[in-house]
Amino acid sequence: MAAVVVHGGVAGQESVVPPAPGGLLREGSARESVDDHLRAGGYGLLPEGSDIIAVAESIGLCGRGGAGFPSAVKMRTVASQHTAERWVVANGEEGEPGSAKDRYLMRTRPHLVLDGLVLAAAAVGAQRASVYISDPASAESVSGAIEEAALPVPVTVHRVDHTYVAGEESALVQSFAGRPAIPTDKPPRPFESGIDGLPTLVQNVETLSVLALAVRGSKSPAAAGKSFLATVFDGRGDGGLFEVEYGTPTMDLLARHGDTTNLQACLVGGLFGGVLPARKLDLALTFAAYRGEQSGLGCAAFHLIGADDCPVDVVRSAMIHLAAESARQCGACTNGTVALRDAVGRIALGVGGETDVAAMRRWAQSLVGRGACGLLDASCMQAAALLRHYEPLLTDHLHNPCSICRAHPDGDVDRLRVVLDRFGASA
Amino acid sequence: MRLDVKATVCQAYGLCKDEADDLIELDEWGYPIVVDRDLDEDTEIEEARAAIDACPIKALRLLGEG
Repeated sequence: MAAVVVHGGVAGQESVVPPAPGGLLREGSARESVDDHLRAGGYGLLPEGSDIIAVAESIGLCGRGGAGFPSAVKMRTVASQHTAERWVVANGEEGEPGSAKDRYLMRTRPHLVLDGLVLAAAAVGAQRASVYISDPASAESVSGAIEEAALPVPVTVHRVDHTYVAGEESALVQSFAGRPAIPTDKPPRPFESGIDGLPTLVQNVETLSVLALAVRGSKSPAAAGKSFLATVFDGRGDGGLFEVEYGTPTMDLLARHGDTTNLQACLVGGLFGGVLPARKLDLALTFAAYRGEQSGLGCAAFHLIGADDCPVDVVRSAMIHLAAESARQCGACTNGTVALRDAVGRIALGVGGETDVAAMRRWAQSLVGRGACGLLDASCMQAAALLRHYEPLLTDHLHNPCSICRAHPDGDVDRLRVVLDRFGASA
Repeated sequence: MRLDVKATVCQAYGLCKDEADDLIELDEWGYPIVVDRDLDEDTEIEEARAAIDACPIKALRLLGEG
């Protein structure tokens, strides 16, 4: 496992453990040049599309934006449709709080991302390709890389403003149509009907980078598919980016960031996995293991909750963030994210009642799947995991709110946003 | 076939429930929760179509048709 430490922003990366060659992380913080990439075997002859899809399938390549959807299935769906043109988009709109991996790849390894994009275009027979980005430094890096490389497909950079929902793939399609980047109802999914109504393969930039390493890299495809990037950060906004193998115990990853002696719990999977107490964190880093704990690995961003933090307070900050980021299109989300936020807020501050706990429990079930995107589901997951692992602590707050929760009387202040801004989420 | 609510379209008119009481519940804000399963072809499709027709903004649809 290799590490890049991030202090207050992905721009200030400093390598503490030299990454193993042939992986997603590179040693040092310098941007990889086109010559570096060519020397590493990049931008070679394009294999047959079906061979590229076969590689994606053989290594179990899946969406690293967080959904974990099998890439080969998406690729085959796009490739098999009888249309003259198809789109492929590298999704670099990293909306999940705390995740820094996609910005690292675009800022530091733009040619690896573009190589993966070109391979994906060949896999599905796409004539149109773009990289979808909110982070200015990433856009500059990728634009420069497009100029430097002689790409077999024309590639553009599509800019969007950063929001939680802008990275959802139907929101991406809306943005390409010149509309606000907010999700639409499914079906259709973009791989059926996307940009300009054409079949559109949308793949996260890490997913594409893994594809490029598997096809081009010095390691075997199977070896390239074994690892992924994870971001670990704390409530002060200090964090690190790590390359880790699937199946590694979660605690081993967290220990790479720092001493875990005082670790009480963790918000896992961005905001999609909810809170897990430290005693559960030997959990293997796989989608299946996380599902088995009724959690989610998501984009593999981990928010550490130390002994000086309160899990109720951190979950509440996540719910405040989600309510603030709702696009307010879907009635269940507009009402549900706010209702969940306010219920946990009343409980945390000692002004709630058993009815608030009961309502949280009900909404955590009844609101799942009721929005056009997953934001409402994330709020439900936060509530469900808090009740599952911390119900005694939660109900104790009804009568004895802790000093940490009481220090945050205002339920509208998006404190998580402040941490993330420090961390570089909106850099 | 399944009954589906287009969540971005629905404005909680609630008229769908009057037509398909067995298939639709309304939540505390008046938004419909539809049964999460395939509909019975013989007994439920007609009810679902009535609910779809009752919506003034066409927020309901059947998925998996032909």
